Amino acid sequence: MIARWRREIERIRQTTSLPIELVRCSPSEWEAERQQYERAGGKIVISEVTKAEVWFVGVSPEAWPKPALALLNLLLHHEPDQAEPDKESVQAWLKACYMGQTPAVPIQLQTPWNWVDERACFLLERTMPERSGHAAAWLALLTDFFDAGQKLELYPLTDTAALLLLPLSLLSEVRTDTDTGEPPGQSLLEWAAGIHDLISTEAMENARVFVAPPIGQPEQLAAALRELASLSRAVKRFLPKTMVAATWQYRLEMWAAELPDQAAMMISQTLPWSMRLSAEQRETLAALCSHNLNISETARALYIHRNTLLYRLDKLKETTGLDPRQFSDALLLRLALLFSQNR
Amino acid sequence: MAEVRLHHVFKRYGNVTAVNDFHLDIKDREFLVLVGPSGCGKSTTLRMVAGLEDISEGDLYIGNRRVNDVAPKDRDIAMVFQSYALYPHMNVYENMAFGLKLRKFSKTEIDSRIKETARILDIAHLLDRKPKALSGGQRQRVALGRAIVREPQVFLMDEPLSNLDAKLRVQMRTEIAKLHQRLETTVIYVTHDQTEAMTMGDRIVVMEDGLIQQVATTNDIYNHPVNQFVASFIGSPNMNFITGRTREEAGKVWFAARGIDIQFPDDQAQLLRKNGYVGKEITFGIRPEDIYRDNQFITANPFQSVFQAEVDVVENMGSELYVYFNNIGNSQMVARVDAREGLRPKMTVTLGMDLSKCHVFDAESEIALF
Repeated sequence: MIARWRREIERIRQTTSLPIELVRCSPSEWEAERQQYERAGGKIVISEVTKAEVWFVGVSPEAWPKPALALLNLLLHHEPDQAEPDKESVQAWLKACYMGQTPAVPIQLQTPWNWVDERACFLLERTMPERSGHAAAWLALLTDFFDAGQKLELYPLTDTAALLLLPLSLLSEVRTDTDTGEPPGQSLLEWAAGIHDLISTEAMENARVFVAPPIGQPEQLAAALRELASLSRAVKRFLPKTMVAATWQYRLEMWAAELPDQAAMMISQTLPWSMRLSAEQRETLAALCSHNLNISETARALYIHRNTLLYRLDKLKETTGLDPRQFSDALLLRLALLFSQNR
Repeated sequence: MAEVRLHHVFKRYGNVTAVNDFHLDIKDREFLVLVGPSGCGKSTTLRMVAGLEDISEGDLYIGNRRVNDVAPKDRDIAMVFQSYALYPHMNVYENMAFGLKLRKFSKTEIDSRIKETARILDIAHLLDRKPKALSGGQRQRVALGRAIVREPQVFLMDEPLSNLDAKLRVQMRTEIAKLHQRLETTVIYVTHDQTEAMTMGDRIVVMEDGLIQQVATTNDIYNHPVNQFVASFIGSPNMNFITGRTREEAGKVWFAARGIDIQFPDDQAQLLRKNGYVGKEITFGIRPEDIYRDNQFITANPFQSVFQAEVDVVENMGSELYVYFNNIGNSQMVARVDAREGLRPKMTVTLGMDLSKCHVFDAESEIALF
């Protein structure tokens, strides 16, 4: 492998005069060397990590045209029979990220994975912890569903949770958001709903499905997984009937779920309005907030006439003294509803 | 045979009992509806039948097989949920075929089942469309179709119409009822909507707080509710309740409350005497449609049940009016009268009750006497 790189680098230098180098260091120096190289503006195209030594190929990206850089990637990257990062190590690392730890990316994982395609990240969480053995069954089902062959990666994180990574190319049947002007991530949310439907209908299991924005690099996995775990906590606490959700949908709930209990309790005590609201008023308020205070869309979502909604909002104002049509008042009411669940 | 038998089934979450001693035999081919308010345990019961929730205590049989420990996919059931995304990258045909392919059915068998089901559901012209190109009602039919092609012993439906608008809900109610007649399969249907329950079920199970309140046919539930909860939950507008006191006077039993003094018919008076309710506080119940404005009824009224109502609000439903008044008893009451009566707010009108249809409940236990 290293010999091949050496040959290719020499040919590139002679043919193009573009700056490229092959660097060797010890495993203990690797992290520091990598950071220093990147801080200096370099880009590591590929690396090979063994027990005894680390080799990497680096370039100055500003000196390399993008097409040339893409070709270099193709030239140097491993053939399909190259050993993938140890799956158990990946799983252990992902599990630690899911549990809220922030482990450094292990050396074995710093060999760039062969990601030509962005990955969609789905967190699957079954709601019945007493059943076991879900990962293998889910993997078979999902592989059939996507007709994915080997492209699908499913990492069990706990007895009840697993992370699903899918190349975006497998989801290409659904139109892209930029083409249609639909809200960002709407397609991914539909896929998440489809996966939930699949598990409910074919595996006859109850599982929540959460989705995060796609990621382009394995290094982004940790952050994506932590966001998904945060969303899971928020949904369980504030939206227990929700089975499909995206990280960009419930930022307020995710923030609230991360607050220490004492802080949440103190906040709820300063927002007394929720105590006076009926179930219908709560439903109306929740719908208004989820439709960005848009009266027409909220009425449609509630299957009521616009005037009926306006009447309800007037009643809300009478009850609470806050006008839900005004953003700052709506925000207070929204927070009151959210934190009332702490009582 | 697809009988479903739940024998003294409980579901507990820690100290909370979500389903309390659910004991019921569901007959083969029966359309049974579980109805009740949010949190009453109806969905939890359905999910125990499906195997999506474990049973804390008790036994569940599907056919002759005890299935407590049988995996959901091996129970020969099909479930239709409230939310059904369908599989976005597959067309309708593929959506319906997928489950059968997983179960290794032959292509011929799959094709035959899908075409027959599509014909029944009137979606044969949609087989090559993707879910995004379908309306809400069409998606609902595909979700049903996915369940039907499996030819299960039992269909379980968990509020499948809740996400549809009112007009579509009415249409789909009829479709599902017709489908049941055609397929002749056992159906257990969960809803919080009492109109759905009344129009679709062979029998209805009314639940509250994890307990079965009453199991009966539509007619019996409506005309003979066993307690105040069932009486108030079923029927729209709700049954009127008046708390007051009975008395015996000149051989007749009377009921008095604010604004009203009525005499019970002899048979009801006898029941009240026999059960020790004379001279006691009771809750009197009367459905809105059993309160009349009609002069002929009032003139010929065999019952001593006429009273004066001060009209507060009138809702015009087209062929009839819902007339609300506050001067009787301790809460608002409503009468359903013919729209031609032309009643308006602030009018004082004479109304009469058909006491052959009235109900009496124990003021404390809320159990029905009649």
